[in-house]
Amino acid sequence: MTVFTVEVVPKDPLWKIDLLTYIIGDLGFPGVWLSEHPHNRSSFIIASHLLKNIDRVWIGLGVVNPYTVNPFVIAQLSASLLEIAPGRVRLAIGAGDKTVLESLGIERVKPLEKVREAATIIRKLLTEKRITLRDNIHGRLDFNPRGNLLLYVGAQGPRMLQLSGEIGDGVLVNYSAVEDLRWAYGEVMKGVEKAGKRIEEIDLAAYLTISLDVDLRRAVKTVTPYAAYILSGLPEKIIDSIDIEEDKMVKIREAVQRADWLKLYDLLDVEVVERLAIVGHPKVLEERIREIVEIGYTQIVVGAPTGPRTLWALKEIKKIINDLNNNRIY
Amino acid sequence: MSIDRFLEIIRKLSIEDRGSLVEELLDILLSSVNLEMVPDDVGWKINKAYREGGFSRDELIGELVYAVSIAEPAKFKKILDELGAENPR
Repeated sequence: MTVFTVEVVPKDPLWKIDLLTYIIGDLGFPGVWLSEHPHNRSSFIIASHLLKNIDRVWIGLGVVNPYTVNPFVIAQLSASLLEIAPGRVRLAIGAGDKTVLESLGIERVKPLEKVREAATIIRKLLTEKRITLRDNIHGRLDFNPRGNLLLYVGAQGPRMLQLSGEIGDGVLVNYSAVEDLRWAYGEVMKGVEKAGKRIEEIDLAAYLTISLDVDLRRAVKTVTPYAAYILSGLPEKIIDSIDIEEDKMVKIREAVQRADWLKLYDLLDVEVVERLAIVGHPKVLEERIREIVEIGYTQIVVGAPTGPRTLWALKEIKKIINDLNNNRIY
Repeated sequence: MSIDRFLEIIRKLSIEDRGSLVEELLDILLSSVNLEMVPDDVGWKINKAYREGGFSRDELIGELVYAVSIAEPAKFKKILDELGAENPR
């Protein structure tokens, strides 16, 4: 059975995030992923509010990186959230965006080791309340975490995908094209096999970037900044398959850094946007979901921006899910 | 035109049309990238109105109308034109 959840980006005022999450729960989605970005509101603080005020959905935080938030603190924050809502908290960790980290003066050193170590620290503290990592690095929680925390790993590159399969209770795969998701599935499988697990033991989530509208032009315009952001952080293997000139990539990365959306509308062709996001009429999404479910993904995250008309798009997506459910596609 | 005058126009609509208009206004607001311009207290009133069963009171529709008019003035003007009204503030 595939589960459908929705991403909420904490860039808007709390009253809006609260209302949107309430509506998402009202529509029957069981979970909300709050994206984490240092330029936006803190996903942990927002999660604290939502978990207290909306009881119909679980809240996932992701992707939190162990460079901007120390893993001991991630464990402390997660355990505190579990006290507010036992069993309704999920956490995704990842290496973070290299360019954003550099802009904060943080060098992304040994990301695979860092994420593996963070997972160990968080798990150990939440289950045993105590960890000694090395001679002089140790930590503890002087309170009891309530309930289990499902730990996901957000991954894009091949080695991080493998690691996610090896150590994660779940994986967030931030691709939208079927060929990329199929390739990512294979990489996750390598990690799963390495750990001697079965793929059924993990929740494999396709974290899609979606912009629905009957007017393709409007849908593309809404999703272009998101597509550019994704493009600027992609692994080389995927960039090579997109066939985009190197000098154009440099300009796109610069425009993303400056948040120069107008420039990005000029730089990104519709074909590139369609490669990175699911754009246009809801039928496009319906067809894509069928293919993604067939690969073996167990969760589909309806990722931002969803479309130029948020409510309309969410209701259309709910209709698609109901149709698929009635036809027993998953 | 005041918000009161705008609400008078809305009151003349059928229940279905009124519901559709409120939903359209809410969709514009929730899709806006300019929500920092909406005062938080107005946002919370709209939030509360929705969560408590919709916009049955004119006063709450007025808050929604006001929020949309400042966050998305161009889209709001289009709605006014369609209703044959002028800008409420």
